[in-house]
Amino acid sequence: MKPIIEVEGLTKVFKLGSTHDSYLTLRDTIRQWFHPANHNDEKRYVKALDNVSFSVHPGEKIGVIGKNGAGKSTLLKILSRITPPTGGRAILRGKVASLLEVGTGFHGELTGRENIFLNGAILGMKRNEIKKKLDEIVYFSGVERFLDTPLKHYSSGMQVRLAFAVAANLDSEILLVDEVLAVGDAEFQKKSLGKMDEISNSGRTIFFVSHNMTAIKSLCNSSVVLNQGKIEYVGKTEDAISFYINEKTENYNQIKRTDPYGHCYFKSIYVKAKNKKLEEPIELNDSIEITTEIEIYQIPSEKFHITYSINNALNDTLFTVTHWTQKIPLKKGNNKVTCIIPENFLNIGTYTLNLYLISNFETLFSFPSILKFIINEGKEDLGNWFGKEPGYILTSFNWNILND
Amino acid sequence: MEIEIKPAKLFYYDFKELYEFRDTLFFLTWKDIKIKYKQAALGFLWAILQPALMMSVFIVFRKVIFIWTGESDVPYPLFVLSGILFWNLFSGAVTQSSNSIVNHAHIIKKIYFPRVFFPVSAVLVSLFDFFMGLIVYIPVMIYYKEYPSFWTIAILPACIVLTILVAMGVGSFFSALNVKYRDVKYIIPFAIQLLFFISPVFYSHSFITNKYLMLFYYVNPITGILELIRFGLFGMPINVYGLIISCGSILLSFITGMLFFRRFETTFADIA
Repeated sequence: MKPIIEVEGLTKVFKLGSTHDSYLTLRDTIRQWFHPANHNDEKRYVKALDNVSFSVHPGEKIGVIGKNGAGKSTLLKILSRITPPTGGRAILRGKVASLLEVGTGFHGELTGRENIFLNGAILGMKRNEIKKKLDEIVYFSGVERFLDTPLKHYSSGMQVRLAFAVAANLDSEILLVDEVLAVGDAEFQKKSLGKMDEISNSGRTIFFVSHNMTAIKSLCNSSVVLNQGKIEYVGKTEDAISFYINEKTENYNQIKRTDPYGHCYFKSIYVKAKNKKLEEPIELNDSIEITTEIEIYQIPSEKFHITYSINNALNDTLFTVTHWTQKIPLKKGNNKVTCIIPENFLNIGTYTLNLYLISNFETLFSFPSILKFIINEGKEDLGNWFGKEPGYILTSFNWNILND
Repeated sequence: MEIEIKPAKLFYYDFKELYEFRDTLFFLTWKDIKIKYKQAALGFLWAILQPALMMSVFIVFRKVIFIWTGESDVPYPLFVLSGILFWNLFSGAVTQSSNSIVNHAHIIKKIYFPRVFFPVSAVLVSLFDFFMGLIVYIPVMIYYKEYPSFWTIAILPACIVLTILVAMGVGSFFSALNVKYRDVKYIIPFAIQLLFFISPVFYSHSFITNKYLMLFYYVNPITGILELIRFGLFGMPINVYGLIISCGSILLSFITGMLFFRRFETTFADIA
């Protein structure tokens, strides 16, 4: 069977200056005529996509993962024909629906019904198609009662539901989806993910770009990892996510951050082995210190505290810890908060640290995946078994064996 | 159905695709008309009021200064109204379409359909306004007993088509240029204003005797269109050579504008 999406050597080059200063005034151009030196400076090129090739078979659900600026959106925009490639080609064998946004073209002055027709037409639906699907769209959106009310009187949640309802009812063999699911409330997200699942089970091909690993994991059977415009990994979604998490968190274990609310300043956050230097590798039999040096300007509530959580390479959270369970408060001024994870507790592998600043049991803000650290095997005595036991947590539970 | 995505082909319109997407063009136009008349308190009245007021202003104006209208005995209100209606069609279409790409940048960055629909739908909205404006013409026509002849019926559509062609060409050209140079937004209203006075909208250019100045007048597509419609409506004299020059200029602007637009439309999503 021929692949439904075939991408060969796709390349997109942006000229810096035309992407950053998105538009020019005539004055700028005239100035460039007289200052050719400046003109040359601006001719720097960036490869947003660099010789990308892959193919997708009918019915496959492909996730695309990558950092910001890795070329995910550019790839999606090229496949959606929003922008042409600079080189290479792509063949799409089937009717394509692309959803880079829900509710494109919605207008507040028009009624819900009118917006369904407008948005449907913008997404490439024929008038008859929309008429046929109208009932289904209205039912899915749950806005029957307000169908003839101008959209400006809708709540934002209702607008999103209506928009998604139109998008979900597009007939196509290939669905190109950007992170449109990251909208609406939790219940609606569940509903829309469910709908996506239904679509994918109906044998359609889905090409899904997202930061949301959970969504990718639940929807896509295989994934592509993009980095700096190049494909770094293609394979099963689980393996791709694990590869991506390892790539994403830079190989540093010390970092500085500023709190966006101005309560405090994170002077230093680091992970190191106890009694070792920061640069030295952490080994299985080291205790691990997770330290946050924080200068606090103002304490918003008495229940102000730091919480850490540790994720594995698949980005599943293994556990959450906080100093609050021991009722140790933070004080105004400099604080050094250290959590010690005992030796032989975390198994060999790569872990990421998430940091949350909590006030009154609500997350003031979070630094997800702020640090990555690796636990190495370390030295073993000769004669012991080398290698990794399955699982993330090592235990030394007490055993009791009765023998007759 | 197979779609091949390759580096942009320049200067080539896919007419099959344009036809495929025809409903999108319809709803884009429908939306603009709907919003335009929904938001205004007087709604559809505006489309009628504007040419009526313009006509009244020029009628008053003519009492104060001398306005040359040629040797014919056509009632001035009809003369000026015919000019104003076509002028509004042209100027409205050009102004709206030259801003159409920039105004819809958010859509262009998120979804694909033929980009040329934006300036074209802006022109169609102006065409709708034009037909609304025609309502004003009827009572004035009845009052002066200048009923349409066979010629009018034949020539009116031709004049509309010519006006639309030139407006599409000019509008598409500037809409593409506007994406890169935002100066266009300021140049257009000024240029339109200037063109109003050098087009025979409220006067007749038949007083011009200088050959070169006459040529210059006919290069302006509006001159040809207005002369043609007044020939049809009132049997006023028409300069056939002049009409040919105007038609040439219309065709040239249409082709240049559409090709220029096509040449740059693939860059819109990147820089708009």
